[in-house]
Amino acid sequence: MQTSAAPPTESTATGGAASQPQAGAPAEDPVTLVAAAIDRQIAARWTEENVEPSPAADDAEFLRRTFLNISGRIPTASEAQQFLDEPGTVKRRRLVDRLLANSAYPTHWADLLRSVIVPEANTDPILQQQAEGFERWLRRRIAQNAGYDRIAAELLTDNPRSGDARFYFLAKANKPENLAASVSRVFLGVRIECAQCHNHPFAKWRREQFWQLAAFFAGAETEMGARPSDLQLAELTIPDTGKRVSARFLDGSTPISKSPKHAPPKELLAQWLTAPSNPYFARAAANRVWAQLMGTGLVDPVDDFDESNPPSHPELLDLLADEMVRQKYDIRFLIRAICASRTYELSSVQTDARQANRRLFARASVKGLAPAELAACLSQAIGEPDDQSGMEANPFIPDQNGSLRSLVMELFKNENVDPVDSETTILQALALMNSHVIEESTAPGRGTTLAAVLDAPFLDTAGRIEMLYLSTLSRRPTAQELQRHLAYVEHGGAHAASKPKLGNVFQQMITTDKSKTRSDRDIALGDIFWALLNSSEFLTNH
Amino acid sequence: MVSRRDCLRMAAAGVSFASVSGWFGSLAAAAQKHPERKRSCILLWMPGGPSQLDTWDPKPGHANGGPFKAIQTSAPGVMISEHLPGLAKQMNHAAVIRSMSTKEGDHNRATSLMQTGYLPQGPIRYPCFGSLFSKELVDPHSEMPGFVSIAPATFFRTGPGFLGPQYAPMIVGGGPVAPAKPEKPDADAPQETAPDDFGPPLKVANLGRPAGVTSRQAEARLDILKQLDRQFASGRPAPPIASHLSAYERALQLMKAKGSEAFDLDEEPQNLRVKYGRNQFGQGCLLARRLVERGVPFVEVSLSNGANALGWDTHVENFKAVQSLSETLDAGFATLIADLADRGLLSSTLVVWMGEFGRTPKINANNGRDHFPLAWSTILMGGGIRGGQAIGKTDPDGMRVAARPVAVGDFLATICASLGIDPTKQNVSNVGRPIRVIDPKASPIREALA
Repeated sequence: MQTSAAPPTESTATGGAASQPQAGAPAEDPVTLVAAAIDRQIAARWTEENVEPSPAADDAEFLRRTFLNISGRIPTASEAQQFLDEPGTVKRRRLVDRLLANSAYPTHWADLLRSVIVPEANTDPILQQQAEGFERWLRRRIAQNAGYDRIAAELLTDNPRSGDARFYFLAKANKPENLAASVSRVFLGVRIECAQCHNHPFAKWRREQFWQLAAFFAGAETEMGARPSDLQLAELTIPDTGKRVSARFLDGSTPISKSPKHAPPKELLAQWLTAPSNPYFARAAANRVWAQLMGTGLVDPVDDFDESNPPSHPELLDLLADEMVRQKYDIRFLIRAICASRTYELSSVQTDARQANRRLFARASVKGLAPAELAACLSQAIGEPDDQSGMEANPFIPDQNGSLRSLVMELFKNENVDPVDSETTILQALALMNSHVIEESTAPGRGTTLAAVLDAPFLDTAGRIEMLYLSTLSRRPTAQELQRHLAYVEHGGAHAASKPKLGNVFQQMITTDKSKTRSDRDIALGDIFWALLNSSEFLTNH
Repeated sequence: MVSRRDCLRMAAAGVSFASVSGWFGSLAAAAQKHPERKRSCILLWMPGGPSQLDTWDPKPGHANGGPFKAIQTSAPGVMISEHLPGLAKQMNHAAVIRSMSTKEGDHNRATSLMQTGYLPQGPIRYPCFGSLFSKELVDPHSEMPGFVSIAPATFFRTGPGFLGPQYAPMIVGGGPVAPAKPEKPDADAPQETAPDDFGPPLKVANLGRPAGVTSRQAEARLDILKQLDRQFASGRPAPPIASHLSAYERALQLMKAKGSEAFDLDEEPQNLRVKYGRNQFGQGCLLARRLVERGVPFVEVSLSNGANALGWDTHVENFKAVQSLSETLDAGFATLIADLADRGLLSSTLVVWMGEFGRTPKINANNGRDHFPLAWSTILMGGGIRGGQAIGKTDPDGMRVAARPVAVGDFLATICASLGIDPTKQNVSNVGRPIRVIDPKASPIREALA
């Protein structure tokens, strides 16, 4: 379908096409170059492992997946229609650019980042309320395209601009050990907390090193707004021992400050953390962005960088990390580059058993939807406004709200947040099938989207079915699907069989009652809508 | 290549690297010889912190004792509040632990502590023991859920933590998952049954097909859905899809008569329903018995409302509130024990009564009592428990534990032992670290176990 702008260079038996840059893109542009590098590295392993990748995703797959990954929602029916009908070959790149320029992107990614930095707020209702200011700050910085290193530094230090970042310390109960564990895991991708109590069972971290890192936050509990500026005070005693340690970076080096009188330990830590020479920070950052878009990290789990857990594509990880540094930790750049790759554009259909190995990226992953995403998708599909204000529920008052968002957030909250292993529960299934809000949206005359589809004067039945598909699955029905649904609707849906078998004359008399036939048809369309909303295709990101 | 993730999964699946701990060994051996001896658990959860001096540990001679009298029970030497007369007759089945001693006086933290065994801190999301134990006890082929929570309190709830939503309780009667019903009835609204004179009905949210959808229509819908899913799933092996399909299948099974009839209390004789009490807690106890009979291994029933809006959190007018709550509690709890015994279920069912802490022995200026975790009471009854005794004791003024202090770990270890669960079994936490079912430093209260 897509014609190559440049003549193909040597193609290998597998993945030859994947090493070509996307058609129509200027060959020199850095996004294209990085995308091509990604494809080269990924394809090299396919060759090694003798794996044939899945075919390329079609426009509809790319559209829905990218909308969800970047904006945390599905396209509206008209956005879907527009994209699918747009001619030309650069529309995918342009879609990514459009989505990154839209305010849904910082909202979604701030949500994701908040979930990584302060997972405690996922379930603690009091922290949830207090997180509002923090999330606003994150959203603002991401919208301003602040570098990831700046965001990390602002989080750690008491930068007045990041006043809301204080929430981070609060959520960790101001305890140095909690802060050390968090900083290590979130920004370095190192799970050092095992070493809090004893030498790490698998990795090389020693208990002393954990507490040396924690020492950077010494005095956090007693701070309450005061800013310790004395490095000499950055010392802690390891619990249950008499041993006193002073702040040291994880690589063993000692923090040195140019002016010993003004040497806030946290600032030194932030500087060390985000220095270009820090091998962990850039890799962890690149890995997280990769994992978010591709479903699995190059290091998996994403926060478990360790000698015994090597990356699947070490050179690629290095490359992406170096690029991050070069681009001054511009998250949008990395998103653009990954989304421009052929690897990202693979279908999630499996055509070969060897594609099942996620670490090869020979097939797109299928991910569950996070609660916020599901709420957004459902709201949009059924035409209910996504009431985000209802989220900050007072924990002392029973939730009488019954709003879609609060229903979804409660029912789908999950503390095991790896989307590729996402699980559905019976209660979730029951709610999606039988809840009042779903019943309302799939009954003709009551649901907003359904009403719009049913009442549109310029649509025939096939057109209405197409609208329902575009509103939910962001694609058009296949010829087979359309035929089946048309037959269902035109025969009066579920109640067709209940009609008595009378002679032709009587039959005609009944069918000329237009209003009765129309309402059976509407109910039938509502049935199709219900099935679409409950389908695995709607409820996953693929 | 086996990934790190797989390694940890295998470790949790039962390749335990620790030797079976001493105390469990003998108990486990006994349980394993008789697999039918694996027990069910009914947890009676009293959010707010019930007052121990006005229930299980009366001090009638002391100023701190308050106005309630103490009465004899079927356990020699054990006296309890006069407002629990039904339970007094059942104390021969009970071990009252009067020496619970924890340090946490904040509702949220104490609830976490008592329900998970740990304080909430750091990144690990510990699961509540309902999720933890039901995971060990549940029959994966049963269509009944493993963990049911009846009329739970709406705040300060713990959850399945790192075990994931599969192990979240199925909530019956209340909680935010109850669908919002329209304010005024309209022609299309489901026919409301006459108001139950047994309190608000205990229903599984969304278990019934909406009244506006005919059964034929529901079948047609499912048919369309099946087609869609078949087409999408074929050629896309992926855990989220498989899990989705499986959940829907189980949900549909539950909707069918067999699964949902368990929740139908109308099957029970009227006079029994009256004995349990005309309120949500009493009927909840009855439902718990039914669920346990049908193989549900863990049921939690909460008593959080009373005449006093604060429930058991009686900072103000403690005695009026506790008397009212005791009446509700007594009817439900005592009838439950008698009913279980009548049906031969008591030896295979452990009933646990607890709150998150107790209340101050000193009465405050509002005729109330405040939070007090230093010395309080819990109850264990039924399966595997040596009944008719009080374990530990408090000082005559109730201010301190005088003998045999019990920490939360020991308490949970005792429950674990009674249920026949291996305490060394590991689950992989959300930080990747395997966590044992019970903290290895804890040990069960031997004298409580039969």
